[in-house]
Amino acid sequence: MTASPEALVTAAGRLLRPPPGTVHTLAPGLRARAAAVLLRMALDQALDSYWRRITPSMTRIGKHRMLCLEWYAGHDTARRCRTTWSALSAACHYRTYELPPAPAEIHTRLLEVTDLLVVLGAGPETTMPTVHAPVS
Amino acid sequence: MTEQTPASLDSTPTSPSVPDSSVRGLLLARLDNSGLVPEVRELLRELLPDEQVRDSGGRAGPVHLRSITAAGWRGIGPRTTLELPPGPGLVVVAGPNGSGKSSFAEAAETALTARNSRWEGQRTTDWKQGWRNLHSPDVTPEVSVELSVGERGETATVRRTWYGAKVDEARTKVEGADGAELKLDEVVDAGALELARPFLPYSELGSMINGSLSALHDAFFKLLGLELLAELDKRVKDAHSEYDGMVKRRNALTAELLVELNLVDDPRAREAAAALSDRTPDSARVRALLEGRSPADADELARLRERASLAGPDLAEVTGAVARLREAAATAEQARFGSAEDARRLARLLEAALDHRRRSDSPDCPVCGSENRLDQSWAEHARAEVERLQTEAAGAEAARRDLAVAVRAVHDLIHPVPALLQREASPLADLWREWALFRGVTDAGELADRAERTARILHEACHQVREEAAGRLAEHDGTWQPLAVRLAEWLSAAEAADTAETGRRHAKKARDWLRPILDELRDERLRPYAERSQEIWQKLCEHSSVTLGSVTLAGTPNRGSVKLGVSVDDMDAPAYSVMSQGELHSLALSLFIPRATHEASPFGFLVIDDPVQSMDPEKVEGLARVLDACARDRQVIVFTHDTRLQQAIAHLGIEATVLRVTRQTDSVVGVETLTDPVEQALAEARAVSMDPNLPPEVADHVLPAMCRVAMEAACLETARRRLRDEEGLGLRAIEERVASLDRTKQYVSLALLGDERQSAREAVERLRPGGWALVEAFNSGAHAPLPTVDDRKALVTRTKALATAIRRSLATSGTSTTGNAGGVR
Repeated sequence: MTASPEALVTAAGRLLRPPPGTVHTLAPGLRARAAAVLLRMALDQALDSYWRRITPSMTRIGKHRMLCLEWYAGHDTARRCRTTWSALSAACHYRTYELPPAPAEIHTRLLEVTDLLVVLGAGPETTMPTVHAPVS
Repeated sequence: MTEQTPASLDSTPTSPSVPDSSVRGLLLARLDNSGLVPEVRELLRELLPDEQVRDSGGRAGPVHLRSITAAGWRGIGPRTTLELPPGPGLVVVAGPNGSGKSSFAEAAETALTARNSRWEGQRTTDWKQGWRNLHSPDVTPEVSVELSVGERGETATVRRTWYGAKVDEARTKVEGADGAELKLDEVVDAGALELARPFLPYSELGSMINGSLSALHDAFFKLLGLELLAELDKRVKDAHSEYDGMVKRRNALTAELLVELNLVDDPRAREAAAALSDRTPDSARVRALLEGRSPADADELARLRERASLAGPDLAEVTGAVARLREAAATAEQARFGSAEDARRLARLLEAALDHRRRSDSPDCPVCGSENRLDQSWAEHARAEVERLQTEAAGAEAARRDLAVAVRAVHDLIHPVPALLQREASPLADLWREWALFRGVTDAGELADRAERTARILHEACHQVREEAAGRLAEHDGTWQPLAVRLAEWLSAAEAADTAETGRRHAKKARDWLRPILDELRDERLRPYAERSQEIWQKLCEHSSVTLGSVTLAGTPNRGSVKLGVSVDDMDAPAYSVMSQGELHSLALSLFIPRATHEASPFGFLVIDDPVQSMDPEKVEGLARVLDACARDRQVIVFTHDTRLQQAIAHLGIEATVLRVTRQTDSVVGVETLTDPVEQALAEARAVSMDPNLPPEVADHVLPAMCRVAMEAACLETARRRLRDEEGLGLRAIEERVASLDRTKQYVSLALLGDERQSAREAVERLRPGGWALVEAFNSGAHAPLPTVDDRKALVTRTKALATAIRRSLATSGTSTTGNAGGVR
């Protein structure tokens, strides 16, 4: 898988909102799930490259990466990453008796991922972020 | 810092005065520059209601919740208390269905408002009967809330206990911290409670967006301080419609009367009809007509009236006078003037003869020369004859006088031709003229005969004329009288309408002037709320195809509505029909939160029952963000059975205290703290610390920061409690103190000593020997490197130990106060 995160997002977008004239054999729910997979991959890749810039050997545990991210990318970005990542993870898992995700919901995540790619792409803040005070 | 606090306290209003204080003044000022005519201004000034003094928060200050307690109430059997963390923040009360969460939410609402929204509306009876917990018949049902009230954060407990089986057989008692009984208004302002509605029960969440939202409209109107304006508008409108009614009544009467008048052939009716037909009916003319001063009345009617009162000769008198005349004439005939003269002459002769006899003393007649004729017997006879003759002469004279008197009497009865007949050429006038001529007749016989005959004819003729005239008059009056009554009625209506027309014009001007001001003020004041609503909607339904545009108020209280500019993909649509249940709930929240959190509300808390249901994951995230924003300066207590809110809170890193309500058999309900900001931070730090694959440089950067967050959260909670319970500070003062904290040392000092300027070194060492080094490391950011997992775990453990000790420091020293509070019960 050598596709760039941006290409994955574009592909996901095409799955969610196919250009006119395309004939899809997949049901919208399945396409949404596929898009969710692509989007999570995109986010993972962006996070990977983000961490590579900080350390060559960042832990692979997603939750920990998210928690640590807060102290590099800031509270808001980190929490958005975590929320989006969790939502995408939930969406791309098959669970018997559960409905596939709605294309509209995944599209929302797509917008969020697009935004996060930009933020994460800008790189880690050079200075250590100020310690987040519990109550602002 | 301490010097600043009182000043900033003064600058912020101590009482929740809704900004209506200026509406009256503002209106009066606008009125002066309105360019309206003085009458209109006067009208408005007269109708302008007095400022309603809302004696709301003069006494009752900001109110926060300390705890909610229920016993024998709905799902809760034995007495259970839900302790709430101090200060602003999000509290999620989680628990499965039927665990008693909602019972707490309803307990709080019922304790404070003595009612429950579930009792209003559908299935009321069921709710009213099912309020009591079935498993605990021996427990006295009770709901209570422990509050922090006012700037000093004084404790007050509002407790509602039931003495009967019905839901309203209860009384509310309010107790101060010292056990003294207080009045409910001293603690909670019922009006503000109604206005700000810090409770959003589930039932209301679903039903809030009904057709017109008129209750919400009215609440907003009051909230915006526009009641006065609405009242004024109503008064002006009432005045206008009253005037309008008067004018309309006049017009209706005019139309009716015109029909009636045209049916009648009467000069006055014609006159009245003419007066009414004018474009502006001439009430002066009608008044003149009714008072009989009308020219129409003078002409023909005056003539008729005269003829009706035309008096001919009095037949009885004339007959009497004629009879007397005849008698006098007859008497005079018998004693004619001539015979009286003769008698008098003869009497004089006899008297002379008698005188001669007496003087001459001779019985011989000097005239004829007969002897002895004038003897004694002659003399006696002659004397008698003289007397008789004299009497006869006097009688004749009297008869002549009597006759003259009788003639004059008849003449006196003959009146000259009356004025109304003088220029007339009618048989009656001729007859009267003839009659008048009899004054010149002196012959008694002729006079008597002609006068008698003519008087009878004339009398008859006059009688006829009078009858006829009277008949015609009566005919006129018979139709006129009811008309006159109607006209009099019309006249008073018209006079009222004349003034009303001016009044109406003024009232209309006043209304026209007032309307835009009302709309302007309303829109201006509503704007912040509308914007807040849109913001919240935006957060909740960020990517929904439904957008909430304007939120405006339309109409006036009791008939108003909240207009929601809802559009779907840029097409306007009614909210009710295009929104999903989740969106309707979101909309209800968007409208509820700005109202409940407006700055003048004295309630520092929000109680929302189960807002998560029927929301999709995105909306739940939005909700968590919205609640987080509200929780910055308020206690937000959310009841939910849905774990998604907790998940969203965890993923979004929102600080929250999560309490779990569990229900065992027989309604024994327990409350445990699942997590709170300190636990959240410690849990995250612990998770990261145990990851062997975490590069040291990341661990060194991240873990101390995470531990510091946990430490400061622990200090913050402890500091809030200490300032509230030991220093007696109100929430605002506490938050100002807390917001000024910058360094970890200050957090620790405030938490342990209640004073951030003192060093807490000794206190920390007393609690945890070696703890101060940790605090200093947090404070300076200079930590020893953490190369191994053990080092990292040790840091978290030390942090946790100190944080726990700091939190417990107050619990142990404060046990006595808490114990007391419990002991009172």
